[in-house]
Amino acid sequence: MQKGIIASVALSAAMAVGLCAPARAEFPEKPVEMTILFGSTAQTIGQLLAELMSRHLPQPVVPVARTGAGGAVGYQHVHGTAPDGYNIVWNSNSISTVHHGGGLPFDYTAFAPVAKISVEVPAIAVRADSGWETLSDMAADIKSAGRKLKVGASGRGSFTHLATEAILAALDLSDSAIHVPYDQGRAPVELLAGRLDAALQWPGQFVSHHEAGTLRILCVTSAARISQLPDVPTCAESGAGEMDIVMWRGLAAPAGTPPEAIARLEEAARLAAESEEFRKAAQTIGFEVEFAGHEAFGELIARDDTIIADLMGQLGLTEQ
Amino acid sequence: MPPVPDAGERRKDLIAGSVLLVLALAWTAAVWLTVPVGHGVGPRAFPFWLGVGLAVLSALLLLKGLRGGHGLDPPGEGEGSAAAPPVSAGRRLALVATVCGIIAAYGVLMQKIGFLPATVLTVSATLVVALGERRPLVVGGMAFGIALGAWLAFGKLLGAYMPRGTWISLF
Amino acid sequence: MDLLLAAAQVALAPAALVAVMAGCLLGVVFGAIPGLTFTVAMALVVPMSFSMETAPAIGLLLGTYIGGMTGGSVSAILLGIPGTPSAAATVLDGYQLTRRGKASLALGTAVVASAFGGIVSLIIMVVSVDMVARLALRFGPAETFGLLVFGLSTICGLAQKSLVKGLIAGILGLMVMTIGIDEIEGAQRLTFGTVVLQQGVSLLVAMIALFAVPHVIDAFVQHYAGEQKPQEVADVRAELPTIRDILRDFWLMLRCALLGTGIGAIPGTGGPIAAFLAYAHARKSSKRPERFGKGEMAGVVAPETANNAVTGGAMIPLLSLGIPGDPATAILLSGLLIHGLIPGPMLFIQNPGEIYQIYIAIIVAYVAVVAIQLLGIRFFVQVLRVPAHLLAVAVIVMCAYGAFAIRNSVFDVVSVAVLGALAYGLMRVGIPLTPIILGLVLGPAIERDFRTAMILSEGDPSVFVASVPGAVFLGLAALVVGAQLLRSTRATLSDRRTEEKRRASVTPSE
Repeated sequence: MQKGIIASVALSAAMAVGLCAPARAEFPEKPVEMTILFGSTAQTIGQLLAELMSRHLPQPVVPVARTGAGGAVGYQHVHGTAPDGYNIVWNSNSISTVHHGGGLPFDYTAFAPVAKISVEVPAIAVRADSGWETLSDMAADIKSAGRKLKVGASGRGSFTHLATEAILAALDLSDSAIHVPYDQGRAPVELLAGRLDAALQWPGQFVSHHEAGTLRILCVTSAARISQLPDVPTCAESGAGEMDIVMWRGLAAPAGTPPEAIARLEEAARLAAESEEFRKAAQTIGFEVEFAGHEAFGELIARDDTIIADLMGQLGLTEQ
Repeated sequence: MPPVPDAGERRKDLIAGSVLLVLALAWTAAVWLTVPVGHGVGPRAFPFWLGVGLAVLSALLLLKGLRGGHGLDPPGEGEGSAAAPPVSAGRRLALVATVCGIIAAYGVLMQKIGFLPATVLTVSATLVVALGERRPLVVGGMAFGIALGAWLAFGKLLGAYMPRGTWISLF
Repeated sequence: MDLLLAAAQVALAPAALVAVMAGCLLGVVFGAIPGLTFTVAMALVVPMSFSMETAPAIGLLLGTYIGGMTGGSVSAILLGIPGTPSAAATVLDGYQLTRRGKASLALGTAVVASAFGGIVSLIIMVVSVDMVARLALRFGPAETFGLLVFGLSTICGLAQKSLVKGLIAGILGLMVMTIGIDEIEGAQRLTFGTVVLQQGVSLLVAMIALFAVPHVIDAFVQHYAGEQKPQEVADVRAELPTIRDILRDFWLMLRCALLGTGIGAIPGTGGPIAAFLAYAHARKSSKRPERFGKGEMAGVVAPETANNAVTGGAMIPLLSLGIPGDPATAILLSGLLIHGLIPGPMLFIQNPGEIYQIYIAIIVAYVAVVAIQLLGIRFFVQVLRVPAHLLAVAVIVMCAYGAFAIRNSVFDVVSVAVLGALAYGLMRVGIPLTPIILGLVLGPAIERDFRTAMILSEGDPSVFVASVPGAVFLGLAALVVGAQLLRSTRATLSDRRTEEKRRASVTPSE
């Protein structure tokens, strides 16, 4: 026992020295913490990104999950850290939905954008035997039948809910639809079992059923078709008029982080995002790699924030 | 063991019933005042009715404590039911406060000064303050042994995230 | 057949075997430590699996999942602190067995029961994946609500002394889980304008608070009382169960395995519910129900068989429908995705080879888990040699770090302290803690399914009895509660009668 302790003291001391050795280099001198806000695929993508970024930095990027409250917990943590580049957040449009929903006292301006990495595009699916080939079919059918459309999406105020409401508004179905909130994974089951008429979720959940011919993905909500589903039309093509709703993911640091640190992280993120491995993961997990530097990313965040604020305001989801 | 609920048992029912009743009423009021009604069976329904349920049940418990009425005169120590070891209520309360205080402080320390120093501090403080351990070898051995062992096993071997410390960061 | 052989060749290659075993070992260690569950462990191994070939990656993930599920029983039996919520039911009799000096016997039986449950569920999965998946489809929110209420009704069985106190405990558990953001409408509930409270109380945090903190306080109190507990140190022989011991409970194990598989197949339920239902079932079907809660081996066998059967059950909707039933399977899902395996109906058509690899990996994992734990028992029980108060110090560190690691949040550690103090208080006034766990486990799901069902039915409550499963489960729950109410009223009445008689007989002599 005693020997074990001495040995472990010696070992840890050696390790500590080893860690501190390459001191006084340029940023980063110590590991960078990447706060991850959500579980499952968002976490997996973030972990992969962190690993790939670590290859292009002298210090590792460590993914740390701080989930809960729709991302508010993680945003608050990073917001509270020193703006030195050692704390970054794997963020998304959730900064806007959470802030305008009243979950966070600060908005996107509390963070300095580093880089946009990817986008995810929600898809709307129905049962294959519904007879609906397009959104217009669905809308016409519902209107003529005079019944309500039961459509599944995540809880009120979530991104998929906002996208759902936007589509319903475009189809003039807002008053003849019931939003059924589902925690992510269950939407396909409820569709298959016939308890829902339609569901809007990330396409990964529908792909296998779509290929098997039990569900049909009507459309994706982006302006252009997505690489994972080249044969699926956009919602605009499917009858919903102008529509471009995508969820971006990217990296941000607390506002006031030195530009050198941001540039360094941005470069590592670019190399990671453009790597073959990341592209392959995008195909299987189901997201689009769409890199953008910190300036373009900043503009995108600001633009999206006003759109989301408007939409939430119209739906009565904003905190007064 | 007496076959009928003894005075200690009744006293416990009285304490539990009254504390929980107050809690239930405060909870229900807070829910009613701060949680929006929402649509249909909204966000308020469940917490509200749970609060009401707790109020009813704790009132029942209170009633049970009051009934059978030899008053509330516990002979001798109320805490001293047959199985409990002879530790005074004050000491017991102090121990509860110490243990819970230590855990909370440990959590905050971990974030502020990192896992290793926080663990060494917490373990030695617990041994010395809460358990009255004075042998330096035991205190030091336990403190460094647990801290290093956990750090090596979780942080290094298994690769779990260990808090690094925002005030000072040694490792 | 060729396909199976080819899959076996890949899945039994040295790299794959090592990966499964490493996963199992990691899972057992994480499972054994409260707070550090297989969910945390799996999140850790996913990045490790990025650079691996498909077969070892699958093996690593499955091994971690399965190891974690069985590891929870180790601390439940040894310390009375469940390593995972699924092992909460195991504490009831497992810890009592330890106190009677039968720790190693309980540990050995638990791991064999676990493996049995896991393998049976795997067989069911292989034979009837489509049928079970189709059956699971019938469980919508209304039907799941019925099942959960039935699960909740087992509180009545767990509250032996006083029904009122048991119900209070259950309600407290349900109440705690309503704090935070309401997922359905996004409303804040009792967060008092703070961000930290929005994340709500994690089930694991509450579990640590309920089991570990009172354990630590008790150890400290005992230390002050100067009461050394020699009986805990006395018997730490590594005594393993014989085949006969295990075969005695064979039919119980089989029933619990079926129960666990069925519950695992229904998304949104999971291990803890299966374990409690199995425990309740074991007691009901036992010839000596009065011995449950005092160290009855069947009280360990039943929940451990059932919670491991859940792993196979949960794989059914995951593989055939692409639906993760809980956070652990959600991580498994993204781990499979990264390697190009997209769970869902097409998986069986496009990747039949990988499906076989998964089956084989599960079998290997259970063999590895049994080996690891049986070999480990002699080391595990050494924990009991450590003086209780010093062990308690280590438990503080373990649980505080475990609580932190769930969401890397200090708030969770502080919550453990606060809830722990409350739990100790409740225990002192005679409120049982186990029903609280049941309330915590079932609370969020019950509310979500109830409200979703009401939204789907457009506010018509008859939806809950409109389908056969819903009506059956709600009926069963009503039956259980009704019977218990009847029994306890009768007990109170007869109590009063004996008391009156006693008084009548005492008065003249005074």
